[in-house]
Amino acid sequence: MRKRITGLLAIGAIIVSACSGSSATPTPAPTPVPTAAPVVTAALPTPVPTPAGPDLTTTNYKPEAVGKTGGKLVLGEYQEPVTVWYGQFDTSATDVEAFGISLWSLWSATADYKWYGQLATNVPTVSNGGVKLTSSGGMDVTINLRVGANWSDGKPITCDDLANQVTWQMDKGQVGNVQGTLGWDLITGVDGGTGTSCVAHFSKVYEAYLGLWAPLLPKHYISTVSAADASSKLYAPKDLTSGVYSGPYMPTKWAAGAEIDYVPNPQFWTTIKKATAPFDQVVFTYYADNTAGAASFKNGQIDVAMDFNHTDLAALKTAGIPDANVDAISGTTYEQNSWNYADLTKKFGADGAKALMTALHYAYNKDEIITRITGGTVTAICNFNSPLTWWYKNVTCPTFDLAKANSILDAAGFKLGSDGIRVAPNGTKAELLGCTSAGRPYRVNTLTLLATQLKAAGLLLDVHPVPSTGGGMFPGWSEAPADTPCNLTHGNFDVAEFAWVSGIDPDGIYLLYNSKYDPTLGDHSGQNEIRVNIPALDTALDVMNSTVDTTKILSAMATIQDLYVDPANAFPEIPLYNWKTVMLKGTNMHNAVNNATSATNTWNIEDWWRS
Amino acid sequence: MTKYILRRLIGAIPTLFVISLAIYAIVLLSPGGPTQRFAQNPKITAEALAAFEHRWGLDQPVYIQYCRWVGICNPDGQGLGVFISNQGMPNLLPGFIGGGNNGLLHGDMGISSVNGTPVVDVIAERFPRTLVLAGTALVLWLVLAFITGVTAAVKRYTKVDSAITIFNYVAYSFPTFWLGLLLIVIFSAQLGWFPAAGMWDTRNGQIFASPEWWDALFKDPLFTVGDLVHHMTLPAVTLIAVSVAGDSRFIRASMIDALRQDFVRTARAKGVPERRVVFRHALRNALLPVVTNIGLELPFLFAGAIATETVFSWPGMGAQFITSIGQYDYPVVMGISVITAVLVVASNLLADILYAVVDPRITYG
Repeated sequence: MRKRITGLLAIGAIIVSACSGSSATPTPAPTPVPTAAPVVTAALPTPVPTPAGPDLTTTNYKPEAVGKTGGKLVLGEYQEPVTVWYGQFDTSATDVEAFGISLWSLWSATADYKWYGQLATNVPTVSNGGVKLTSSGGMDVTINLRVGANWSDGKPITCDDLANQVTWQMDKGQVGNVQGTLGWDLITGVDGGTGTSCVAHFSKVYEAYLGLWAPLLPKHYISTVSAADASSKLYAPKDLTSGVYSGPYMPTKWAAGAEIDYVPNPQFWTTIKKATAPFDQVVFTYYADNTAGAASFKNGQIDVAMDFNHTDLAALKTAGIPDANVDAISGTTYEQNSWNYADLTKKFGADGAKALMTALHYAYNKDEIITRITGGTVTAICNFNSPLTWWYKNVTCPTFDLAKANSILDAAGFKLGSDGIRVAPNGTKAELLGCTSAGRPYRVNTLTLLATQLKAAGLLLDVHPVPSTGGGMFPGWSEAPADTPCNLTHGNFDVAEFAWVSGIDPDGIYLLYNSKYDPTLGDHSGQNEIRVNIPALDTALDVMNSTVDTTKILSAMATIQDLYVDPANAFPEIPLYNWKTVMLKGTNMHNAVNNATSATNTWNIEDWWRS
Repeated sequence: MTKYILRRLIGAIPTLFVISLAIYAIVLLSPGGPTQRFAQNPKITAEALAAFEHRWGLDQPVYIQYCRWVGICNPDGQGLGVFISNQGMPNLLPGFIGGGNNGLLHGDMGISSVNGTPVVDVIAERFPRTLVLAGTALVLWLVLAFITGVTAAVKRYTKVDSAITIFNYVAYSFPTFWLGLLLIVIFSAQLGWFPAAGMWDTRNGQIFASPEWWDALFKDPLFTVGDLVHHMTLPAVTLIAVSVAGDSRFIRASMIDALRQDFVRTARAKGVPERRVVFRHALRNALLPVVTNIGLELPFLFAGAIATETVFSWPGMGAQFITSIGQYDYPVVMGISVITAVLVVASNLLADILYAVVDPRITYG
């Protein structure tokens, strides 16, 4: 199973069901600090002074000037990319790592969670005047492309490329395009023609506009075949050299199951970066197992090995990888327990469910879980987002308090039975079904440990590991029969453990926590699998989702985080800890900065060099 | 013999048909599916899912999907017209006489639903890599199994026999994937003697079987072949450990049995040198059951490669099979399964032919 990036930077929450990946902790993540005199590259925008509201763009990233060029850079990953069309026809993070270096977006995220322009020179916001609300309720977004920037075949990158991509994305013939039409369907036109000053007109306010055009696709290339044939006929693994690229290194050969070879994109280095490529060749290779990845790094076969996490730290030490080579940061993936509020309500009634969920927030001994399950490599959290996001609120976490949990349950009429298990006022025994992936023993162990913790509160948790075959707990509404045990969409669980990834944009949680996205409703594509239904939450989510005013978003997100954390609101999601994103890199590697956002570790590969 | 082989080949057709039917049913009836990749993606609407299913024919009944995959049905046809090609003839006929051009019957295994690569190309790229590993492993397997088996039999109940027996039991007990990880930890991570992953040196070598690799082979054969052997050592050892151990025991038992036969005693009584007694008289007679066993085990070399290739990131068919299953890439899974089925049938045929080679008393009419 692969780490999925849904909608890339635009989407704030993605599932990590059975894979390794990135992370974060509630303590501020280390800010990447240059090792020598800072030189801001052309790839980064000039920070725009923001008159008001939160700062979305001022980064601390200051890369060290390239001191040596030439040679081959070997990157290692634990899985093979699926397609060059990252963000379009597949959602694997490894696709972004491999091909984000070949196809740039308009905007991307720095390691310290700031937006910066890749092919655009500005990050348009309301506060800097880049986004203007229209009288008809829409908005106009000004996008300044890099003047003189060319695609790899020498053709200029223009506003026409932006406009064409809107049409292409909305093409009825699209098959399997994972971006869908969300956001694109609001764009009524892109002005600018063959110039570089573009204005995108939106019929409605779309909060996640910075996640569009990720990546930007060349009009003159993608329009050579129908949208339906694009994924199989363009950027074909066996014909990479005929592809048109915009990033610093472009792929030349894909040896299936083994490696992808790249060479510098001359147009990038002459028209965008205006410098010499630090490497003559880049190779992206993969290893099926992290043991092999660590050994390959130790043996010098790989310069930078990516996609390890906190669960690998002990093994890396055992393998003899020096600490100086281990870059472990806190990121965006958080391990959490999703509780099915609808099921709890059905079992114990509305009052019973609320009391039970409130008590659960106090019954979790997260410190014990972290110590015993992860060996203390991570830190307990109570919020769903990284402290590095601009909309993070430093909330006060509820602490483990078994006596309080018991008193809440007592007060709600949950009587302790002779077998030590409580019975709700409606006569239902407090028996709960816990689900998680069988292929992730630490998750099974976590729920098993939780079962012992909940037993002390008179709650019986039956842990049910789910084989990952057939998608495990995650098949959608139409892919799994309604009675499939532990299926999240059908709501056949009381608690499920898996991980989410919070993004740089808050928009993703809209789909997770808004009551109208309950999967039992509409076309069943909703992601509110915990069936949370809190009117104040819906209101705040609607405010967040319907504005581009960052001050309003910040305020709405503060409300949402308060609602999320306060046990009195019985929010049916309990976060445990943020994962760590771990990257192995030689001490001779410069500017290779671990980035836990969905921009991935190769986000700034144009600055990397080896001494 | 020729008639026999032809008869067996013709007889293999219904066998392969049934196998393909079974594999297809298993693949399609297993939980999940190609649309699984869109689960948890709120941007994918029910309409988009339907379009995807239609594009890949997943909206058709299973028997129609199978019929198209085999090449009897024309994907462009409707109703009974599915059996007619676009040229107006029965679709199952070869394309050059008016039949169709889709499906297994026409050499088309479809295209990968993940990245659009023709399945034939996927297999063509991967198969030689698996063949190199499995072929080398096969040679090593047979040589080691025979040496240890015969030695243990000839020196039965000695310390040498005991040592070989202990080695065999230990090796036989190792799960393949676990042995692979153990070898990586010891010989790669700790000792640094062998690479942990891959088939060639990414930094200094060339992609196997690429034009650059062939150039390098001629210009610097020592490095190129040495690099391949260097990368192949741990996977090959992992792949054959269980087979060597098992067959060594099998050969030992068979040899002990043969060495007790009257004709061996007669040969010794006649003063035939011991080496000749062992290799010409006893071994040849002990070979028959061994050939049967090897014929049955040969396909497992490829099956075993699935675990071994995955652990060592060997870019062969086995690793592709695992990847494709994870991606619900039905066309590739089916393609590799069919190739494996063909290998099973061919291995059994080969074993039958070898009977006649090792035992002149056996003839096929």
